[in-house]
Amino acid sequence: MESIFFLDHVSVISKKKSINNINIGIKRGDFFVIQGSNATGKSLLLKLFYFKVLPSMGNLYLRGNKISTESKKEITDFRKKMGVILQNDYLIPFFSVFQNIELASQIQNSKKDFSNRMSEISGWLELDTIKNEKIVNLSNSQKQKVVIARALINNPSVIIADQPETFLDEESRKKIFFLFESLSKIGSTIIMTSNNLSNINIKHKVFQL
Amino acid sequence: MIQVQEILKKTFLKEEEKFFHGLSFLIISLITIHIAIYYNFYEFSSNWLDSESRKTTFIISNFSDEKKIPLNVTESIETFLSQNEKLKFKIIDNDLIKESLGLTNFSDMSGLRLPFIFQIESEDKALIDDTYAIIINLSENRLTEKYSHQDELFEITSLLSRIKLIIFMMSLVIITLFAFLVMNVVKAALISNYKFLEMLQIMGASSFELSKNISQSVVKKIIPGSILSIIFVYFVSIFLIKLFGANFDFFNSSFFIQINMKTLVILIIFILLFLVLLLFFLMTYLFYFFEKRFFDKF
Repeated sequence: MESIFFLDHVSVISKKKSINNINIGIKRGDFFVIQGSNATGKSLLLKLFYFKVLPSMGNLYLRGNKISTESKKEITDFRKKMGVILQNDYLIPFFSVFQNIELASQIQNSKKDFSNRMSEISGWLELDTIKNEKIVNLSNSQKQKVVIARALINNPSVIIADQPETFLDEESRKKIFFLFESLSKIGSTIIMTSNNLSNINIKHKVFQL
Repeated sequence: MIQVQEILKKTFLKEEEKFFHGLSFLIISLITIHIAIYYNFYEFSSNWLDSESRKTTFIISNFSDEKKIPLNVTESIETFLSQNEKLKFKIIDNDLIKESLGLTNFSDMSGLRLPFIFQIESEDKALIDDTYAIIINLSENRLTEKYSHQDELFEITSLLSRIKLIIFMMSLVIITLFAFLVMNVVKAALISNYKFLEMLQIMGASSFELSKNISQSVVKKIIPGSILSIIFVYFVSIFLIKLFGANFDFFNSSFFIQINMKTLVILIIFILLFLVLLLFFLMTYLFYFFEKRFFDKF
């Protein structure tokens, strides 16, 4: 099977952090976990997968096509099929939970089955009772669930998550990982950074930084 | 259903909305007042130049022993001019000459010898030359001078062109300054909301979509100020026309209404054009902004 992402001897060199000579191939349905201690460049490596950074050296391939500064159109189209969960991700504070999630659907032009998907996800993430609540009134754990719901609303084929378990209690963590495992089983590709491998009960690849 | 543009409108420059309304009213008033002045000045000056360039002044001087041109001579000239349908004429009477020379207090008994002066209005050079020949005859060979106003308008035309150019350049300078001011305010707002915009970009919003939506929401914030400024400038221009237009010979009520209506139409067309241009300018700038930040740079 052709790789969705292929990193060929990739190095990213910045003033603060660097990652060197990375070779990774990720196929459809893979559950890929990046591990490493603090400040080793996990988030930087993750940025390569949602194309926020380009390699300083080496090549990055998306479905066999080499990605360069000229590939913005291809990247934008691909991002519409992705769900990205970042640490301290931005939510619009004066909008409700429902509106913040709906926004992703608007941007990614995926309105089909929105209400079904919304009730399914809000049920899973226990957002039903707070869906009309403004973001400013939520706790960090609730905000993190909204970020996860927003990333998953369009049934993305690739999910990129930077420590999605942050701020969540043990029970919620288990639920999130179970959700990711289920999505992986039905063909979604999961790429995430996490230090909680014990919660993953599915065949997965680990990349140690 | 929420719309992306609505979100941008509520997020972007929300705090500065009143400031934006006030600023756009003030600066667009300044720009449109230049346009109104330019247009009215253009209309008045070209009308005035047009009517003046068709005029020729004839001066018939008295013989040395005459205090006044005899009545039979002036009457025969007047009869000739009134019989010619192709000619429009105006006789400058003695009182007007005295008034323009500041000699109103001189009595007829004084030694002042006044020439006979009249103006004819025609574009036909041959007709003017023929008239000149006949007038010499009718004046019984008195010294008759002919001055075409067109020859003397050259310097005035060049002066008026310079004034028009200055007004036009001033409005261009204000337009440019306004565009850069809006650009910088928008840039400051972009930087302060960058995390939100970056999130939209990561979700798959293209630079074009973002720039289009943001510029539309910025232009929508400028529209109320623009409409107010058109109304304000329209009334100011009516006042200015009333104040300065009264000196023109061709000024009458139908011309007044016509020029005011034309001014209003010109202002509306200008503001529409201006807003469309501003929209494209902002879109280009924002597109460049988002494309530049599409990838993180180290």
